[in-house]
Amino acid sequence: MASIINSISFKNFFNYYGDYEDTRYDFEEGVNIIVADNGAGKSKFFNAFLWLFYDQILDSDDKRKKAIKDIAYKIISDKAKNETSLGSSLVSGIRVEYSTGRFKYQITKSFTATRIKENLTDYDSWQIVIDDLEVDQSEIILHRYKPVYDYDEKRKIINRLILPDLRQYSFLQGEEVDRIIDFSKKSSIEDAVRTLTNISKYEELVELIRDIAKKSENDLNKKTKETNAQTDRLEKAQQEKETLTFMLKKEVESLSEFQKLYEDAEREKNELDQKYANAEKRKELDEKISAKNRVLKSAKEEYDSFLEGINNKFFDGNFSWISLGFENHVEDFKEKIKLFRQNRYEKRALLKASESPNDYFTMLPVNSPDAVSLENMIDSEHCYVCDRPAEKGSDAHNYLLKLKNRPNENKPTKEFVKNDLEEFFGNLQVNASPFCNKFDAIPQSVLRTKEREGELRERVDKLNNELKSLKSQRKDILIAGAESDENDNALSIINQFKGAIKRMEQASNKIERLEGNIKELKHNLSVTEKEIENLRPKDLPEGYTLNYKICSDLEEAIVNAKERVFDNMVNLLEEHANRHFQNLIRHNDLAGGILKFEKTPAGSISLKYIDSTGNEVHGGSEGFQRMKKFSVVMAIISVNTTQYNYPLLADAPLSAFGKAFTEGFFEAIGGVFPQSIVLVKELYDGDDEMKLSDLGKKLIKEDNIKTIYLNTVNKGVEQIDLVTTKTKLK
Amino acid sequence: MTSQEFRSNILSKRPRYANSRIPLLDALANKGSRTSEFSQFGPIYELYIYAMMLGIKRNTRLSLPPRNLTTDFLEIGKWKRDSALVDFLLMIIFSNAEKDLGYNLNDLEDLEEGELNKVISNVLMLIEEYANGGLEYLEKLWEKGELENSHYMFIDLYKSN
Amino acid sequence: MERDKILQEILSDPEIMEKYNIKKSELKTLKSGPPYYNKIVEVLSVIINDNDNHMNSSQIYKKIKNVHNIS
Repeated sequence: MASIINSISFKNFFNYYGDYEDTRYDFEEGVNIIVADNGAGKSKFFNAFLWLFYDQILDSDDKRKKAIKDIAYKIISDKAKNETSLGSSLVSGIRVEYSTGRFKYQITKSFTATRIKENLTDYDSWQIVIDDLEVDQSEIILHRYKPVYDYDEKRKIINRLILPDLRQYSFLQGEEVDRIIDFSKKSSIEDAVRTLTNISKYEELVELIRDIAKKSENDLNKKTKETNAQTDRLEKAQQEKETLTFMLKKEVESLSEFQKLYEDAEREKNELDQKYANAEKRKELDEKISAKNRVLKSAKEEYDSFLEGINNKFFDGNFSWISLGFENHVEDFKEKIKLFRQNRYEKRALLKASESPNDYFTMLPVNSPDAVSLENMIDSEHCYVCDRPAEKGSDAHNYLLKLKNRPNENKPTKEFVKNDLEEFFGNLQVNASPFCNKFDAIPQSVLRTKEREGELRERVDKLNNELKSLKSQRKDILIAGAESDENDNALSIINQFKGAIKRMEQASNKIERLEGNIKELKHNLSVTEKEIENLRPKDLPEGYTLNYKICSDLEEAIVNAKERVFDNMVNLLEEHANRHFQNLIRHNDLAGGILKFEKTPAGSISLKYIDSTGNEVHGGSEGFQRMKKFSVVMAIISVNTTQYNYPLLADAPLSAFGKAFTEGFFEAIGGVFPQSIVLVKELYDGDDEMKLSDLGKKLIKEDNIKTIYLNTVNKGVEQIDLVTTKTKLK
Repeated sequence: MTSQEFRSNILSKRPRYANSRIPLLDALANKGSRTSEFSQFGPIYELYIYAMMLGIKRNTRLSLPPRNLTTDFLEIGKWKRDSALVDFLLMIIFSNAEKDLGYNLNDLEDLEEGELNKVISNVLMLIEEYANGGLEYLEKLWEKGELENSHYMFIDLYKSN
Repeated sequence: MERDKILQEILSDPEIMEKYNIKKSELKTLKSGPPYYNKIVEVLSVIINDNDNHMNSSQIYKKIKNVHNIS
């Protein structure tokens, strides 16, 4: 019958201020979740169970477990402390209710603290007396508690909640999963197998039978000596057997030495495995990051210089933004200059006329000939104006010539203007033309500039985002060592890793050779045995030989049985572990891989992850590593199902899981533990109205999630007013 | 005076600005020092031209304070040398010749040297006063915090006037 | 019973089964108490039972010798 925790309550326990009824959490079978951000009672909640089972609390200041009496002054709620005057006392404690099929139990552990000094927070300001352990029992149908008086009975009841041996698999604080299943330690899986099987019994039997077999052999030899038919050959064979036995013993010792070497190297390799993968990945990311930085830098430079150039477009004749809105001015100027020229022309004409009026007017009446007609007249030697002939050489002809050539020869004797500014204004007009012909194009140009700027800015933004994402990826990868030594560290880790692998190889080779030797020696021994048996006198009392035969056969059989039991359990664990693993990674992208438990040359069990092509996958993210370990922990529990009926109490074991792992986790534990109480912060979202993340909101709708509590702390108040409030969301 | 003389006389002039405009000039013109939060022109003459054109658009002329409270800067001929810009500016100035100078183009040709030099001084004064008017407008916007904080501040302002 | 299970596990060794004529169908019926199927079952039962009684190897061996009627 499974034990189910019905409720947990606190009295003046850390941030849980108030009496038991005020701070009570009710739980059901199935999955119960308490969502809390750091500092909102998460690990304090867990401390209650430490107290319950071990009379200890984890001191958050130095992360060490301390006895209740030593740390009581830190346990008491600050608010309660503040309300207790000098000489008065208060009570701090925890209370747990749980039920099995027939009974319900209530366990209360508390202490009374009397204030003996002014200062609230000193260790010696409070006199602590541990109260008696209170255990009450009631038949479930009766609903009335009756106290339990016998101390042993009380202890039994507490232990029944989760058996001590199994507590390490059921009672998981933070990163304790790592310590339970430390794959670099030979003993991890073996401990589990030991808990799950009766292998210790086999080990006892092996010890026994070895002794017994030796005794039986001695007896047989003694008896053999007593009878007559002793031949040299028998003696020699027995000596041979002794020698072989001795050599075997030496080889076995050597073997175990090398097994240890192998183990040490393997442990180092496993520790480095994680870091190695990370070091490589980190290097890769570093290269990507610096490449991205370079591209970003040049994109920024391009963008910046583009921005600087924007205002240049006012004054650059190709864009001519400065001329925007000045069409009219330009038109005006054109008109003015036209008028200007016309006036000048007239002025000049007037001047010429006034200088030599006769020439001017007689030769050029209203219908005066133009240059072409003049030419005609000259050529035809006839003046059409006066209608008289003008032969070459005559006065008339000479005059026509003079007229034609007049403008060039006869410059006016004085300038027709004081300042000839035609060139000045004419040049203005000509030179300024780049600025006068772009009016229509300017709005387009501005638009295009804005577009181009947008393009360049988008490019910079995109590169920035890519860079940010790379940097955040890099941050996720842990690597030990100081930041400043990064590169050295990465290199030395890679070298160490390679070194460990090499040592493993070397040890493995030696081990193989030794095992070969041992096998051969054993073979020789058994042949020698047979020989000895043949050489023994045939008239020995049957009992001795039979005794010896049975004992030596049993010796081998018990050793084999032990191995078998061990291997079977390992296989079973592997099977269960894979089942849980598939469940856990269901929402992830990791496809098709399996977990494999393999016996190493050192004789211990190592956990490998083999992908769908049969290749071993090393490293992986921290969340992935946790997942592997968690699968094994859950396998240990589910293999034990017939006897495992204890709740899971897990305090944020998901710190390094990704969102997808977290989802798989909640689904999987429901299938293994009859009840789980999980404290997490990953579902907390301070900005959300309900304070739940998307995953939290999803989980609240699931059927197998029975209760969800939300712990919040009133932030921003004095320490003495800090309390944790709980809200039941489901 | 010949055309070349007339031209070089004008181009050799160094326009002036009121000293009180210096904070504004620092804020809006000074490429290289990225201290301003606003879009900037590079050399001072760019901002000056802009202000002048702004003043012409808005038809705001503002006399400079007494000479000792003013500072001169680059001579006109050196503004964006080898470019059509200065010609364009002079063209714009002279497009208002009658209104601003009191003479039309032809009149100018009949002036005595002394009078023509006076015209040149007046052209300079025009430039300075339109610029001053434009700068005053910019300064008012700046003080009221109405200057747009974008790279397109100048062109947007130009368009809207 | 756990002792029976251990006994059966040890004797399920194929070589043992062959050498001592233990039939497969009978393996599951082997018990660590009398009546004993054969001598090896008896010896093993003594060892298993007396180990649970916290007897040491010398004490257990004495008993085994009795099974074989040797001194």
